[in-house]
Parts: sequence; C-alpha cells; structure tokens
Amino acid sequence: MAKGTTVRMWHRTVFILILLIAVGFGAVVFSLVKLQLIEGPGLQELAMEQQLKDTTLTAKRGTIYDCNMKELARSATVWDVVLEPAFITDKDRGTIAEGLSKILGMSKSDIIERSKKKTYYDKLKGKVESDVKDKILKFKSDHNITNGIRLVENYKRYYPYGQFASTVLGFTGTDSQGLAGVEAQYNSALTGTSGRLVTAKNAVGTNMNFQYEQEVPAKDGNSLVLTIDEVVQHYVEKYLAEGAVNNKVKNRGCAIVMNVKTGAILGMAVKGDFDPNNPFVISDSSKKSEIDKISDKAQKSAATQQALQEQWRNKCISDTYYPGSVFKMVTGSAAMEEGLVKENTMFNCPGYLEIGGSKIHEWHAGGFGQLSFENGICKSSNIVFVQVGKMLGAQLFYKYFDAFGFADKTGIDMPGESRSLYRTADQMRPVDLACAAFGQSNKITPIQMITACCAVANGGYLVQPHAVSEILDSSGNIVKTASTAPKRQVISGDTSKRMCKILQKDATSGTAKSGYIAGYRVAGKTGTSEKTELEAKGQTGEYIASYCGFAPADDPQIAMLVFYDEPHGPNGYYGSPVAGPTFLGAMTQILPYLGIEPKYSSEELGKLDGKAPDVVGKTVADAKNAISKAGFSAKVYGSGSKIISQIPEPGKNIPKNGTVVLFTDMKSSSQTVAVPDLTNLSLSEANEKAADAGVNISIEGAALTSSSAVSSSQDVAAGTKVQPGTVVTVVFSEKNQVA
Amino acid sequence: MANQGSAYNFELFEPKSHPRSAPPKRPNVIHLPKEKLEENRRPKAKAVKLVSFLLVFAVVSGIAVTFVNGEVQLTELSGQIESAEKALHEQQNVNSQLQIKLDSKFSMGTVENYASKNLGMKKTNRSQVTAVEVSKGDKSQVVAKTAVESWLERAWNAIKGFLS
Repeated sequence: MAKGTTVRMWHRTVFILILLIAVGFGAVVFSLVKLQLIEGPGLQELAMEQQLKDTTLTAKRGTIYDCNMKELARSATVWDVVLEPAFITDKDRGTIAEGLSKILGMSKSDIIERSKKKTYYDKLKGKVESDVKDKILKFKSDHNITNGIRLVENYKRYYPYGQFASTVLGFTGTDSQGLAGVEAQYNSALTGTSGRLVTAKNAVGTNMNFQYEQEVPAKDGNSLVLTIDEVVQHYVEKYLAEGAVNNKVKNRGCAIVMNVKTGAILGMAVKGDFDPNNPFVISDSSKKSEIDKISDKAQKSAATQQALQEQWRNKCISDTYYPGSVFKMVTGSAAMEEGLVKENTMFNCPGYLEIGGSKIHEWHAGGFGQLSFENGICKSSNIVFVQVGKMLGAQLFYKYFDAFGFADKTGIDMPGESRSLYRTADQMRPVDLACAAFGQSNKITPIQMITACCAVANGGYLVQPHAVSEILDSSGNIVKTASTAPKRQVISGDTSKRMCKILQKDATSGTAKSGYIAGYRVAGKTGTSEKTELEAKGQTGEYIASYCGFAPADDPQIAMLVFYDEPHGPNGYYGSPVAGPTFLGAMTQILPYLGIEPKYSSEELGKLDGKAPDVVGKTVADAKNAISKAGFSAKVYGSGSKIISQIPEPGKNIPKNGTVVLFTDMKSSSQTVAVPDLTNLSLSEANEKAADAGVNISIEGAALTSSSAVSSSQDVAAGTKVQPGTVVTVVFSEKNQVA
Repeated sequence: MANQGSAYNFELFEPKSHPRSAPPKRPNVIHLPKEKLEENRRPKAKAVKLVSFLLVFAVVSGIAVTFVNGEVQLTELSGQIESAEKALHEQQNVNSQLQIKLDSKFSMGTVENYASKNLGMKKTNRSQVTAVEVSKGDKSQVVAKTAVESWLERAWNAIKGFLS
C-alpha cells in the first residue's frame, strides 16, 4: 500500500524529534560524562568538604553514688557562652555588649573590647546553666542576631550536698578531669570515651540523608558506688564539726568509720574541708579574711595556694601523727599473742622509768603502784607498756608493727596516702622502743590505725580499707566489685577476743568511759599524743586528742577513730573529754541505724530509768509519798487538792532520781519552764539543777560508770521553754583522763 | 538482429514481433471508496494503545513522584526527629539541674534542722523506750493487729507458731 502523506510527515517529525533529542541530550550526556567521570573525583572531594560535618559527641562523666544509690556527684549539660568577634559589626556591637553584660553580669566595656578582636572564638563565660542559656537565646531572637554569639555545649560536675563527704569525693577541674579524692583515683573509669557523628548538611544547615552517615556513639563513663553510707557520714560530720568548734581545734579534726570485717569505709570526714562545687574558694572564712589583707600580690597568691592545698588535703590518709595510747591495743595484742603477758600479769608502776639515760614519766603523777596488765590498759599506764615493750624486744615489736600494716601503705583506693615514719628493729634504741610501745615514737596515718584496730577486733584479720564497692557501666551493670578478702591474719582469734574484753572494760570503767553507750557493749581506747616535732620550731604544748573504739565488743561490727589536732578548748587536750563525746554522739546514732539494737544488762537498766508510779486522782500528800517511795522527787503545780495529771504518765520511764511533775488544775497543766544550763556540772549537781527547774535528765556517757564525770553537753539548749517534766539528755565525760 | 552473413533473411519469415508497447499508464489518481477516504483523513486512534500508554505514563510518574515525595518527607522527618531529640536532651538537662537543686535542699542536715527547729521534733529518748527483761526461750507475739491478714498469711503464721 502506498504511504500516505500523513505517514511520511509522521516519519519526518519523528526523525526531527530524534535529532533534536540526540543533540539536546547529547549535550547533557556530554556534560554528565565530563562532570561525573572526568571532574567527578575532584568535585566529590569539594562536596565532602563543604557538606560533611564531623561532630564530636562528648561522653558524660559517670555518677558517684553512696552505698544506698544516693547520688553524691553527677554531671549535667551546661553551655559556654562564646563571642564570635569576626562576625560582629559596629552596627550590633553595642546591642550585643549591652545584652550580654546584663545577662552574664559582666562589664559592657569589657565585652565591647573583646568584640573587636580578630578572632572567631572568644569564651566569655563558661558553664552557664539552662536559665542563662534561655535568656541568651531569647535575646538573640528578639534582636535578630544570627552570628556573633554562640552557645557551645559542655558538662559541669555537680555535688548536690555541698561539703558533704568532700574529702572522699574530691572535685574535678575545668576539663572535667578528677583532681582529688575518688574523682582523681577513678578518673579513667569515670571519664567515658567521646563518640563521633559524621553527617551531611545542606546549604541551609539541615541534615541531609547521607548514605555514608556514620555515628559512633559516645561511651558514657562508668559510675562508682561508694562504701560510704550517707546517714553514717552525716552523723560523723555533724559530731566532728561540733567537737571541732567546742574544743577550739586549731589544725582540723578527722574521723573514720569502718566495717570491721570487710574494711569498707562507711564514713570519712575531715573538718576544715571544702565545697567541691567551688573547690577554689577558701572555705575557712577567718583564713580567707587574713589572706585578703595581704597587699603583696605574690605573697597573696602563695598564701591562697597554701590554704587551698590544706583544705583539699585528706587528713585521714595524708597526715601522719603519733597515735599515743591508742597504739597500746597493738602492743598489748602482740605481747598477749606471744604469750608474754596475760590479763592478770602484774607490773610495778613507780611513776617513771629511766631508759637509756632518759626519764619516761607516767602521765599520772606518782604512778599507779602495783597493777595488772588489764588495769594497765584501763588506766593507760605508759610505764606498764614501756615494760611490755621491753619484754617484746625490738625484733618482735617490729614484726608485729609490720604485721599490723604500719610499715606499708594500706593501699586504700584514694590518692595522696602517706607512708608512716618509723624505726626498723635495727634502728630502734631502747628509749625508742620504750616510747614506741605506748605510741609516742613512730608516726602513722589515721587509716593505718583504724585498720589495725579492726584487726584487733575482728579475730586478728588485717582487712583492706576501701572507699568504692562497685563500678557500674552506663546501663547499670556491675563491671567490677571490690574484694573484701583480708590481707593476712595478724593475731589469733583468742587473743583478739581477750583484747576486746579488756578494751570493753576500758570503755566501761577505764579511761575510755567517755565513749560508753549503755546497751551497746562498746570497746575503746583514748589517746593523747604530744606533737614533739613542733619543738624544733619552738612550739611546745601542742597535742592530738584521739579515741578509737568499736562495737559491739562481743561481736564487733563497726570501728571508729576520731582525732582532733591541737585542741584548745575548755575541755583541755586529753583524748577522753575531747574526742570521747564525738565518738559517743556519733556511735549512739550510727549503731541503731545499722540495725545494732541495744541490749541492756540488768545492772545498766538499774542505773538508767525507773517507772513513774500512778498518782492521778490521789491527794497531793499521798502522791508525794508514793513518788518518794519509788525513789523519785515530786514537783506540784497549781492550787488544787487532788492530782489531775502527771508527767511522765503512769508506767512510763523516768530517769533514776528524776522528778515527777504533778498538776492539780487545768491552768497549771499549760505552764512551761525554761531549761537550765546543765553543762560543767557533776551528776548530782545536774540532777539538782534540773529538779529545781522542773525538768528531768537522762544521762549518757561516763556518768553511768564514773563518779567524777562532768557534764559536757545537753540536747535541749539552755533557755528553751518546755513542759515541766521534759527529759533532757545530758552527756558526761571524764575531764582529767589523759590516755 | 538478423545474421547479415546468411543468404536469406529469415527475419522476413519470422512472425513479426510487435514491439511491446509501453504498458498503459495507470492513472495517478486512485479513487478510493468514500469510507476509506474518510478513514485516511482521520488517523485511526487505537484505543488500547493509548490507554496502555497513559497507564504506563501514570505509573511511572506516580513512582517518580512517590519517590521524590518520600525523600522530601524523610528529610523533613529527620529534621523533626533531630529537633525533638535536641528538645528532649535540653529538657533532660533542665531536669538534671532541677533534680540536683532539689537534692541539695533535702540533705540530711537540712532535714534534721527543719525537723528540730521548725517542727519541734526530737529524736527518740531512752525514756520513751521500755526495755523488757526476757529469758532465753521466751517469744513475743503481736496482739494488736493493724492490717487484715489474708488466709495465706494466717495459715503461714499458724505453721510458724506451731513449729516455734
């Protein structure tokens, strides 16, 4: 069939179209080939440079918890406010400076000066929180500022409880690196590993889907679970601080509470510490004002550095001291273990002994005469222990000194532990041995002393003191657990039991009775050591007062060491009246908290409280009679003839020799009385004064077992208005005990 | 052509071949029937081809548009996710900071202070505790029950009581 005109035209049209398409697309294809194959690699490189964004993902520092998973230290995101002077024009310089100066509290002129620098990065203020950051963002949006001010993410370390456990926790520096305490010791575990994010951004800055997008997530740091118990730490810090103030301590005080069987540190406090949120601020206000008065810049800077170093120093592990009579528990244990002495081995204490040309005096003028080894500990006789040291000899003494861990560091997981200063067996002269036997020759650290005390208490095992019990990863899985295996056995279980009994007697009726707690079978030893090393500087008469004890004596669980460096208060400088009340106060709270309930002996109960007789409804005369027969005194309020109410109520406990308050009319029952000052009184004086004022006293401390104790504190402040018959707890201690 | 060398011209005796006359010229004009004419005037629109072409075009366009739309949505959603993650991160930071401030107000010292000074509370005194002297082998029993026990608890307590 012949091709029609239409078909031909169609063919021609198609041909032309194909031609046009070939020409047109040919150019495109040519261009594509040129761009993709010829210039492709080069252009890809340029695109990558322009579009790819490589962001470092900062890892978050791990959290520090106490043993009950309460957060003691954690990190949160904050921002650095950065000025970009290169982007700031004269037009908005003033606005930016004005706004930022108001928000950041900086000088406007200073910001203006800094905005003129030829740089893209000038940090104005670091680590601002969300509220400041929001203000800056609002300021930027209100004034349409896109460049010139930048907020860069950073992390800040927070310690929610301020100075609480500051010496244990330590603090971090500007780069979030640990500089002290467990923050420094476990810095590598706490610091995570930074991640990386590679993305592609378009011209507007939005993320583009990028086939090569890669994210290596940051690995957050591990967290630490400390052995510290927040409650125990609180009581240790509270009573240590009170004692430091009451005894006008010049050179700080410290206390350690340790689990006798595992070596876990339940509490460690130094008073004269710092706030880890502001570690570079001197916390001692008097020291700060002294330094502020220094005019010379260099001297001021040096004094500031010294003050900061002092407040950061963990006295419990970094300072050495003469342990004084507390060390007698070690010498005594060594002698008993070697079978050289028994509880009833008799010694003569004439008042002084001459050793190697030097006179060593007993603390009690005239000595104690004939006394047993057990009484030698209870009376803390230096002369008895000089003789015990001589019986041991230098070699044996050093053997036990080493075995108890005094020759080496304890290896506690905290930085800055000091070595002890001691004489080896070959270096000890007879006078050195004599002084070492009662703790006045070798210098040790408090952590070494309490570890040795735990060995005496727990059956003879030297434990490993540690502050961290577990390390957790960011998901909460346990990565590492601290070992609680003892290092070695130093003395036998039998020697340990016998020494515990002696120390219990010491805390009941010996020099350590200022730490006596009814119902808890406390064992303890006081110490008063002279700082003889200061004599070289012309300073004399400086002492360290300490108390080291554990409870319960029949199954020791917890040990505590308290020591005050250079006390100058009204209680003197002896271990018993200075450190004893701190031990008593803290352990009274800590032991029941840890589930150790009091078990009173009948003798103790007999000395403690009685039951108030029921006299409601009786006539005043009959009521007084009944109360007097029960061994109490009565105080009557009102003008009625019969008793309508009484305090304490019938059948309730009332301290021995206490006062039962009787009300005879409604008006009188709303009366109040002022609590008198019951400090610095003997037991009978305190009783009498309390009775006159119409309050009762409940006694704690030495008064339960001693007749010469003096009251040192009361739980209700003098002058407080209370109901008549209110019970005020008064703590007694022995003022004239030495060591 | 006759052989010129032969004696006779036999071509004279051969039947005369008539020279072929040119075939008659066919007329250039083809007369088509009316129907065909009409048909040729309008090119045949083949319906099936058209529909299938349109369908294919629609499908291909649809795929292309869907693909492009998907990419756009993906980009937008990625942006939204990023913003949401950023907002979450910021709120978590604010929460952390507020939690820290809250914790600092509830330290043990603060609580103790508030309880004793503002609420007039005191720690349990020894005079508020009654000590009971017991011998070994004595046992105690709670008389005043505060909570309703289930039958399981009652059975267990009965078994414990029987065995003790």
